[in-house]
Amino acid sequence: MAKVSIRLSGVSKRFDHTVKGEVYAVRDVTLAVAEGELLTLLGPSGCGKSTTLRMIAGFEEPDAGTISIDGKDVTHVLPNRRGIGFVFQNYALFPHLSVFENVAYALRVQGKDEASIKRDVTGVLGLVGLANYERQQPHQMSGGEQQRVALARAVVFQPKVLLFDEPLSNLDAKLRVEMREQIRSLQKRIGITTVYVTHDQEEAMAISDRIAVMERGQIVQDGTAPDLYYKPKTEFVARFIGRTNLLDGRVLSAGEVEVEGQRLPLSTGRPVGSTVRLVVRPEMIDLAAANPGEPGTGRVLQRTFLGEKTDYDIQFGNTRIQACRSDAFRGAAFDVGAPVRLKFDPANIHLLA
Amino acid sequence: MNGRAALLWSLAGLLGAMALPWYALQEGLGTGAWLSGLWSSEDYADGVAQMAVHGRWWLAPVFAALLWCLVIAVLPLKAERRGMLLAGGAAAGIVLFGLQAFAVGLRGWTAGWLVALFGEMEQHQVGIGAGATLVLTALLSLLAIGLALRGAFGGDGFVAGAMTAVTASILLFTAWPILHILAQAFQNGDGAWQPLLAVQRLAEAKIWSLRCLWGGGGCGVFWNTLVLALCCGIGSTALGLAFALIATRTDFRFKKTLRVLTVLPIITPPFVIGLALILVFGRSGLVNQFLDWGFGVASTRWIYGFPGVFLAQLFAFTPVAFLVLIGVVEGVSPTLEEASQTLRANRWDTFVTVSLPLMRPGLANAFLVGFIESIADFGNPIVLGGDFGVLSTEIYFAVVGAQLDYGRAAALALVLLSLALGAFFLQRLVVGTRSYATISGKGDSGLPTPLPKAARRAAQWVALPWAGFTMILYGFVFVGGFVKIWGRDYTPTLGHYAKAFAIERTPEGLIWSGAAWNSFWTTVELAAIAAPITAGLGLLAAWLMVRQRFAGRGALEFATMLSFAVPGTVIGVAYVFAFNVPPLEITGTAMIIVLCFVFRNMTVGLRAGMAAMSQIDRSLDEASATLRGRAPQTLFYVVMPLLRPAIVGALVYGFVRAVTTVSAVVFLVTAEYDLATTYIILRVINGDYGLAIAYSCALIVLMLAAIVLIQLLVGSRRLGRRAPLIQGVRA
Repeated sequence: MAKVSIRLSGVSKRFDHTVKGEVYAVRDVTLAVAEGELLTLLGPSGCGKSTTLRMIAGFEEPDAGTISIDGKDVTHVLPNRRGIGFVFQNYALFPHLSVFENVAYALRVQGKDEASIKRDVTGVLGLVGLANYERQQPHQMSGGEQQRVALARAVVFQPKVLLFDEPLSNLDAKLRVEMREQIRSLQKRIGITTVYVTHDQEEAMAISDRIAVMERGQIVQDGTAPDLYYKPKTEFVARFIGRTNLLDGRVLSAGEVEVEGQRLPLSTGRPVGSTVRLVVRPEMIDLAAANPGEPGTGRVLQRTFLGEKTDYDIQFGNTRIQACRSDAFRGAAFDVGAPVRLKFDPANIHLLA
Repeated sequence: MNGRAALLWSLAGLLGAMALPWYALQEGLGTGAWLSGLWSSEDYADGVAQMAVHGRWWLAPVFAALLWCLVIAVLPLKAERRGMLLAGGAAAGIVLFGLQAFAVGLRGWTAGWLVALFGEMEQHQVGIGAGATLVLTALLSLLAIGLALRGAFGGDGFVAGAMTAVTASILLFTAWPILHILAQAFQNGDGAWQPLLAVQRLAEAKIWSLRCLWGGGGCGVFWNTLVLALCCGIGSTALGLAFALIATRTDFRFKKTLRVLTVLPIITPPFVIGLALILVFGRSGLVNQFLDWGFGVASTRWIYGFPGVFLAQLFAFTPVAFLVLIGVVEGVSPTLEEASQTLRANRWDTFVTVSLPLMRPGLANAFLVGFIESIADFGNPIVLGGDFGVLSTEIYFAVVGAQLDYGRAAALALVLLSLALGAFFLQRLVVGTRSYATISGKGDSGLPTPLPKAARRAAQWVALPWAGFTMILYGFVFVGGFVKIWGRDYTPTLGHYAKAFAIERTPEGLIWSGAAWNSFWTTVELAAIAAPITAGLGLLAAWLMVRQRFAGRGALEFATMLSFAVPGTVIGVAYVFAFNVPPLEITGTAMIIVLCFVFRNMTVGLRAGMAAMSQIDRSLDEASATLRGRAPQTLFYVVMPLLRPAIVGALVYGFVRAVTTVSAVVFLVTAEYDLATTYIILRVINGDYGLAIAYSCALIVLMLAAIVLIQLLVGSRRLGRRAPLIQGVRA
């Protein structure tokens, strides 16, 4: 593994809650981000991802644990001495300063000379595609442009790490995709270690080298996007990343599991007779036409046509199953109420611990 | 941060101990006479000489603490350790400084047990001077630096320093005088403790008597004050609400003009309305003259007493209530009212069941303001009160009158203070921190529901005549300055203005011969000195409270809010008592007046600053921090530019309040430093209305000019749009 740039060891943060008393916003988080890596903290609101990020930035001090950047312990160092660039959810552009002055701010407070300020600011504005925007006031710009100013401002003084706090949540869907590609390419280009916080799993998968999924103040799993998708460690991760079917099965023998009356060849390593939880992604279920009353079939409850694919809600024994399939090469769709046969590929079934 | 700041402050402290006179000089530092006597003269000597040559050994420990800090600053130590030793040494130095300052006074030891312990003392000491002040400042700074080195206040030296400065000054100039006056009530004239005396003073019939209820004599001043304040609070709230409803919820055509009313009380000395009432209802006022001329009715004195004071206060404070309530009424979310109407409530039901309850906290607030303004008012009762005494006037007569009974004044101040704080706590208890005003960054697209007809009629019938009458009163004040003798001789004249503001051209140059010039220029000068300090300190404190996290933040905020409720009369008396003896002997100087202005008015700058700052998104500060801005840079480059309106407000208020205040400074002025308001009050008491009116008008003009000037100097916030909530800009 490459050199570690940011390291959190055993970091905790408690808050006083008016009803629940003392609650942990972040609990015993240990995490290492390699140099040049883009790591995303992903989780639902209130899971502690923003608090973790704010502790890395130095806005909050952890109650326990240490944080180091480039091998230097910064746990109790003020934000302005950490060398971090931070991109805020609401951009936090100084409303009384022009675009140029916003970007130049960090250089000015460091007392850089006018010529190098001009050079650096112009350069970085070009990098984010905002050349010639110097004299504009932030409020005259669109959301996407403001976000790019914020990005330029955060990187202009060559910080050691870059932090993003849900930077795209105020943009519309199309712009979001565009911006995240820009952020990713800029990050690659300057090779800066980055921690990115979002609650949008698609955004996380698109942008990250690695994703750490957080739940209730703790990191429940971290890994690459395919890792998390195909091999979720917990039900929570399985449900949070992509759509999923959770099926309960019973181990019949060393190589066979029974699911809703269907026997599947699957070696689990569990004792015979025990129950197991299986994760099956909707696109991994193959559907075929069946006759009414045939064993091992389900009934279509709802069909949603989405263009490139069609989603099906299927009553399968006692569970509802989501399946999807592309109709392009497979002939006719199944009608609501029609019986369908579900075919599971044991290679694509993941067993939860 | 290393030991450099600590080294500099240690050296500064030693400079104070060795190069400046330790004690206050009668003639001030300006003459330079002290330079030659820095070692030998007992009056002029610096601290070290006082200790070594003049036998004031008790100063030695303070200097030892300074030396200790110097040594710690120089030694190569780890930051944490240096901080601990520095903070410890400086704190010890401050304590030792305080102990010696209070233990040795004008006549040696200040307490009997000290004499018993150390034996009689021949030495004495007067109030602290430049040298001692510098030493104390240095010790406080060293304490702050030490704490910051230890990691307090996020390890930020600037924050630590600002915090120490604000806390120390509030303790010294607000908490200490008030505690001092409380203690005074329990002491006799010589400063000995006599708790029974306090009981005696507090139980006095003149305060509590209820004889007026069953005939024979007047009621006690406590009941007078309470009843007056209750009436004034209720009356001004009701009228203010009527105005606010008309201004926001009707299609009344002169709404803009109505708002002018809210500016008037801000720029008017509080007793001007009282003066105007005399012109209309007084013995030689218009009404009495008309009745006499038309119907032969003998003129009466009914205006002097409760009715007059009540009317004057109602006129004076209704605009204040209007100002408070206009925000509240506007803050009620129209969407809620629209929701109520979709639920089949008619306008009247909506008004009674939704709008009014939502305004309740605001109404309580307006009432409290009226109540506190009334009990703190000194000008109107003294001008119109006659035999009707209230606490503030009673305190005044106890201090300056023939009684000269400081203990009694202190006891009365205690009663007044309890009344004010009682109202303050009651308000907090009832309203709490609940606020239903729903102003958020999100646009509220609903339209305010028009008032139901009955309510609109009532509001208009009450408010509009009242507004008209207020205007007429101000008109009379204006006209009154241009007639010879009101009530007797209405010949137009400029005589009063000439008498007050004459400038004579003589061969030696201009002579400011007008009677008012002296107090006028003193007022302008002291107010101009006080205003920037008031605004600066208030906004700095606001920044600390809103943006910095530290232990004791809540306590500090509460203490400053509390001082908002302390009536000016109490502050004035407290200042006289606390600062006419060493160690801080500044009674009779201009400095005490400036200090009184600053700490009396600072709370408003603080509140305005806090309100404005909490509307500035915290992420702007955080952005500055991640961009390597240190705390002071964030303050000056980001927060201050966005705070311009609040800065203007604080400056204007600091200046205007300093010019118009009466109650606090009436005890502090001297012949040398007379102020405009106290000068006018004395003219009124002497019946010299013409001059008083002319002078009041001049003051109003002065303050309008000051407001315009400050607006021009500070400028307005350069924002492309007017955003109610300043955030890091969003599309």
